[in-house]
Amino acid sequence: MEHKNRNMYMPIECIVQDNIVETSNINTVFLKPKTDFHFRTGQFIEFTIPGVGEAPFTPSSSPLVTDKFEVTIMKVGRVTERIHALKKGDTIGIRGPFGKGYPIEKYYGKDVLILGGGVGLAPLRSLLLKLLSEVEKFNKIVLCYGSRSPEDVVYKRLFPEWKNIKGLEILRSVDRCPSGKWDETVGLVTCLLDKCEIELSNSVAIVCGPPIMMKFGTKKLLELGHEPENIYLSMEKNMSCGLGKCGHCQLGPYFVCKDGPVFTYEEIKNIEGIWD
Amino acid sequence: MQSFHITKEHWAEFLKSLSSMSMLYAPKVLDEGIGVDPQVVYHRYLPEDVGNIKFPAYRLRQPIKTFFFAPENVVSTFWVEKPDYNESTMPVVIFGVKACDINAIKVLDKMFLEGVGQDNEYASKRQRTLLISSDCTDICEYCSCNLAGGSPCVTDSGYDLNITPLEDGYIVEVGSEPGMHLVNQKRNIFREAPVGYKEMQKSRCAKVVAMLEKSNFEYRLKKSRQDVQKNGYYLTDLWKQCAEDCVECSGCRFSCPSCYCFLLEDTGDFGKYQKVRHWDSCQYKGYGRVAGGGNPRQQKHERLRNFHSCKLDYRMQNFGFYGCTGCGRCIEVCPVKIDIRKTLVKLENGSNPK
Repeated sequence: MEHKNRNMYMPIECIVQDNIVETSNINTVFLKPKTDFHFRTGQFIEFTIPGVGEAPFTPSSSPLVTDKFEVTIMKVGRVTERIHALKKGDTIGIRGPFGKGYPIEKYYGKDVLILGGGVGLAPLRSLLLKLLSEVEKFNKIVLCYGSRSPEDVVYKRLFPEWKNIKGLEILRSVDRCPSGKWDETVGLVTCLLDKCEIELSNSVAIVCGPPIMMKFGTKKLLELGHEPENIYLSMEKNMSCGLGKCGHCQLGPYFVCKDGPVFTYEEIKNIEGIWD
Repeated sequence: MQSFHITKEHWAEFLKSLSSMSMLYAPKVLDEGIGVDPQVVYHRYLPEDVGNIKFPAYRLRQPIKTFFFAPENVVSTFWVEKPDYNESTMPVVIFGVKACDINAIKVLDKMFLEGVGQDNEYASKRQRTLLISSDCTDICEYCSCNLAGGSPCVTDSGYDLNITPLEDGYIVEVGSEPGMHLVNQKRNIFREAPVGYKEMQKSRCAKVVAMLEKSNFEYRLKKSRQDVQKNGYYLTDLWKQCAEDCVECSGCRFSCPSCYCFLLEDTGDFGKYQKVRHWDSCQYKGYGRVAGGGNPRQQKHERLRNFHSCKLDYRMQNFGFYGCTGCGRCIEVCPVKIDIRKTLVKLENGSNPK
């Protein structure tokens, strides 16, 4: 997106339409911007609580909808605590969209393997909705999703309908299941990768989740024979200005906010500290 | 571009006119610093004081970025009908800018004016500021532009006017359209530049370059960065030694003329919301920390190495020139005298032991 003379630090006003609970520490906030807001799937925004602070999130709704959007947010600190407390009708700000997003065209005609962990499913949901809008262009789409426990699964309400979609295969795992109410895989998300059938020579893998899961997920994909240039990673660093200027999200020669947040493993594999 | 000659009397007249139509900043010696560092600051001169303006021998302590990228700045005010910007729009003229700081501005211009978008705050200040440069006539013990691909003398671009003192006046070289405009406002006092002044500039410059070469003799590297890094880019043990004494004060980053990192603060004071930009430093431990506690550069040697990579590798990769201008302010300010020149020599010697 070009920001020629607009003040790039000026947030767009948005009204909170709803704020729903997904899990014990994850909410989805429904927002209506006062002006039309377009984003490409995988691009992120800076979410401003006026007077308090801002933090980066990737919208979790379809990029095809431009009059409203959703953001799924885990409560981890000062700003996200305030976001969880938002009520219908509250006013917040957003800046963006920033970054490059997913290069969807490169996935056409291929097996698309999506590997998600925890709240990392949020940006992947937006991607999934975009892929499903042109599902005929992909060979197949496989979603492998892992959570800590059945209670920690985000979008519980949406999985039943997703499971009926033709061209989409869903595999889910939980790290542990104290309640016993889970009839799918119990184990780390990486073990799902052994179960899905992917044509390696004609595939891409897209990974998003907590750093530790990204690290071992990527390791496993490489072991299985996925090519580093076909593994797409969401590198969520400390993006602050969103413009490649403030420096906080520096990742080697890149700024995650402007050059990413999606990178292929090939692009960043020699940079130190990518999983920290 | 054109060059002119101006007499000493007319030079004083020119400065007077600059100081009345703009905010003229020029070096002022507060203390000659016998036995200690001289104290020289950028001072705003009023028309009656311009006679006291002297040419600085080398760069000032204050990095030039402070004029365009202040330590603290409101970058947006929302959501109010008409934000009340009190900021002056009067032109600013800075006199006595040195080649190293002009190179630093090239880095800042790349960061703030290009890329994803333009930073309006920086752009407006940059636009209303004219730079009058002069070649260095002396060096300080930290000056090392010659090691960073620079020169003590202003090259072909980046300034509006460049001034060279002569016995009977000054040479004024025009480097930009706004610079030409300044000359045109007082066109009658400018004469054609004497033939051969370039040779005189060159020979003066050669003397200062020789001083720099002598002063930095032991810091001349023999290998390229790639060569030093060929057996392992990270050279962790060497970096740990280099960073051992670091007290993590970030003085090096704040005094660096080409460092641009900042932190955004949201405030709700005075009945309106604002985003305020503050200088930040990659040497602070929490700088790269993310939600959930991850931190790509936990250790101080990782952070020290990162700033060297940023200046010497990443900016070269991104822009085609070093982020370091060799001004030496980071060495000057460091309480434990971590010296980028010594660090690089240490890495070179230690990277490939025989």
